[in-house]
Amino acid sequence: MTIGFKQFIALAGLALTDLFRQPATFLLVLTNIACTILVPLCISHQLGQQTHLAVDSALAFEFVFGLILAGYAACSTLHNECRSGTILIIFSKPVGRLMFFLAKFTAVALLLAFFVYCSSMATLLAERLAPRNFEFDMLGIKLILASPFVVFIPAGLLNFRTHRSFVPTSLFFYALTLTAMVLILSTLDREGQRVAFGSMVDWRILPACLLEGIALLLLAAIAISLASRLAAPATVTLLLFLLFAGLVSDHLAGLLASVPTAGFVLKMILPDLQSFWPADKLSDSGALSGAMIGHAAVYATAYGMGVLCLGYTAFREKQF
Amino acid sequence: MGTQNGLVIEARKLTKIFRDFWHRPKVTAVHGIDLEIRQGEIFGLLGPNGSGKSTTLKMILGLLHPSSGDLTVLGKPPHDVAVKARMGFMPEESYLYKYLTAVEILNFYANLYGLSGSLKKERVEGLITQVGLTAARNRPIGEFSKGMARRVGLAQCLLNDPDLILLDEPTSGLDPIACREVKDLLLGLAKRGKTILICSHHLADMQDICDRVAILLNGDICTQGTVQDLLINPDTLRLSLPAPPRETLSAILDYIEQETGRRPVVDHTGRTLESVFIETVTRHPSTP
Repeated sequence: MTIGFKQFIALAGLALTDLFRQPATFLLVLTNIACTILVPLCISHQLGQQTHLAVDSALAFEFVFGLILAGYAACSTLHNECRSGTILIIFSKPVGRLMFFLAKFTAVALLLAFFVYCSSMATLLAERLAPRNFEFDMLGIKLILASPFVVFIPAGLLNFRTHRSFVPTSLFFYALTLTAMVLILSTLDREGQRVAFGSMVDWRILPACLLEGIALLLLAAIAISLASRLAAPATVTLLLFLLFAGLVSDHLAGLLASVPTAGFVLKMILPDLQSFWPADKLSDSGALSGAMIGHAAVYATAYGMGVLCLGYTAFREKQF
Repeated sequence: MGTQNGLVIEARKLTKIFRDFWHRPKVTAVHGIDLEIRQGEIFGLLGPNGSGKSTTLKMILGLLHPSSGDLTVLGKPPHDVAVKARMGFMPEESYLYKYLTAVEILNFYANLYGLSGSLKKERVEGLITQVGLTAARNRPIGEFSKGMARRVGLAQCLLNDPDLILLDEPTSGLDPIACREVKDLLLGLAKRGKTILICSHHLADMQDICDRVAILLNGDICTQGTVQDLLINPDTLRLSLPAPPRETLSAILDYIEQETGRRPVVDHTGRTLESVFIETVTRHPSTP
């Protein structure tokens, strides 16, 4: 392993460890899971659209909480290091700025990948828990209610016995518990009878969550670039603006139809987030094709690399 | 270890001007200073707040680009990555990751230097012991006192066995015993040929360990030289002797006054508060 690669792993690994131990990360991930799972239990009207509403809400939660997490994590790992002075020690070591910048982005991207995984599992559960014919899935609800005990008590005991940090342990236990719940409910129907594996789960949700995950990586590239100069409130505000502007970018470009150049420039600058919103494609028994996800991934890679280049240029010139 | 001419840091007409958003000069933090620091020397940079000490240090570290002038560190430009591999830096504040433990932090910095395997373990364990953090090695830094965090800062600075050590207020926040230990450690490092540059407000500490000092004021070096040269007053002597009888002392003073035309000042030689503190604490039965 070359020294450069070793340094990159060390920088990204430490940033990821630090992010996982932050209470804000814990709260954002768990709030997203709680909102995603609890919404189907709170749906008050019965118009035959319960599962549709549950999945749409879950995908929306993933987008918004993921965006806040991307903004917070980017600022925590980059801007706060510049502000607090930790970066002075890092740059007194034989570490280049490009490596540092890319390692920070990698850490945020890995954190978001974990977030998307948890969110995907929670969305699968939410779809299963949505009431059908005025009846709740009591088996699923019992498992959900038991999950905090399964997660927090062992994590607390581990912290007590071995001083292992409570926050990341709980997060990993929650990811495992969600996976176990999905696997258990994949083999049982609502009455607890064994069924063919996966027959009771809407697997189309996974590529939809993956598509949103790609969008969140694109937003993470924007967040880390903004974080080289801006603090968390400004970064998250700009990201929210870009999210909403990106979701209506076609409409905005249409408003500028009389000035084609302006419309073209606007479409080039704003991220085309409409391509990443999967809820519409899932309605009416539709599904996301591999080509659709591949196209979105290529777009996100190209856009993200461009943004990272701009972000690095701003970071390279920064004096501490 | 050093350079061909023995100079580890060489600055000529070094200037740093901070500019505003419109690129207009806002403040001249360092104004054309000349600095030469030789191998094996402990050099002190003194000055009041805002005198340009930290700016000079950051330029030596390659964190700030000089506006004009020449600066070489270990014979190369300061931003050269190869230079940084031979440098150790301890900043004024303990800028550390508060959710990580002392061992995790040191392992991380060791990885940045490319240390691995037994060498990494040996260095990390050795420094943890050397700075007195064995009992707190697995506690998060966020739970540390300022003095303990400073010790981690010092340990990370020495991980790569650097040729050039840059320290910003190294004894700040340390108790007198730890302070003495740090000073002894630095003197030991200088004896091994390491070059040390210290910025500090603790003048007594600087006087104890520095070979040469420079005093900065408003970005200019007002004076620099060896500590001995700066402190010595060639027209005055201090004579320590066992207290004689009053009549003998009076006769001696009269004689000196007659010879020099000035009445000598007589006082008792005293110990420093530091020596009293260290003696009291180390002799106390509760001290391990």
